[in-house]
Amino acid sequence: MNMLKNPEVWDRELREIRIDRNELIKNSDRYRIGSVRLAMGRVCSQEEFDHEKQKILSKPLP
Amino acid sequence: MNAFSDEELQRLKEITELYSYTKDLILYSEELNNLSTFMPPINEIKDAFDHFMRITAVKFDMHEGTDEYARNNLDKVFSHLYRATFELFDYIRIYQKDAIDKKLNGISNEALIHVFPDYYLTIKPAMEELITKIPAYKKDKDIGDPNIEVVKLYYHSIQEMREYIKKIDAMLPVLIEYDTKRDAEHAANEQKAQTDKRKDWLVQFLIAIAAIIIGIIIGFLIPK
Repeated sequence: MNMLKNPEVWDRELREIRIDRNELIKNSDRYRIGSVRLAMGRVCSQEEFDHEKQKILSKPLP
Repeated sequence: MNAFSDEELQRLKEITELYSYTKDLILYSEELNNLSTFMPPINEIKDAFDHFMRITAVKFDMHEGTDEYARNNLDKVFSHLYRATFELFDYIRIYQKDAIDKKLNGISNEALIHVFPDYYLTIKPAMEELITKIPAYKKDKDIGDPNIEVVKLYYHSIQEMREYIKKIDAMLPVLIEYDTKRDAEHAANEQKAQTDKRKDWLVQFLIAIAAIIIGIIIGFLIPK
């Protein structure tokens, strides 16, 4: 039997995951069981990618 | 439990096929950029999973929904995965260019022309084409008609570039050796030129001294 108290929850949208690398590394000792990659801040956000993209595209290949 | 209809199963098959490309691209994108996870596709996959669970909730009678509800949610699963895949295409093509640039950093044009002509003939034009070919996906815009054939086309281009990057890796020792030899030859030639210059200077100096001595001797010998 489903014990869900709020059946409307199925059709609610999940929030976007937003990550602050500095906070992630700072608080990494709180989730030692979790992902080593996250604890080391090895994630790339859209903003970071957009910044890198401009840099990489502006450099001509040899 | 309500079984999946044939139409739903067909859509699930397409979703599964699309996910096989998405997953491969995620793993490759991590290899390309220092094992970092690119977050936007992960967000899309999270949303795709959420829509998939809405369907299974209906199938297991945990949630009310019509066939159309299931169909709409299957389409949304596909759309989110499609979007994730295009985010990855955009990311990968940029980091493939970066990888080529970093690998060939310090290698002379001369080495590339003589030892690895394929680079200028095939690889560089293919990379430049890839940069313009895959449209940068605009997050807020409609994704149009999601089509797995387009995914296959871009996936093929990405894989082709992946093979070219492996070729560059294989050629790097030869390119480095060529440049090292060339630099050593340049250094030896330069040293020889400097030694010759010094010799010339010494000979000129000795001639000048001899001329002065001869001049003095003649000066003494000629009676005034």
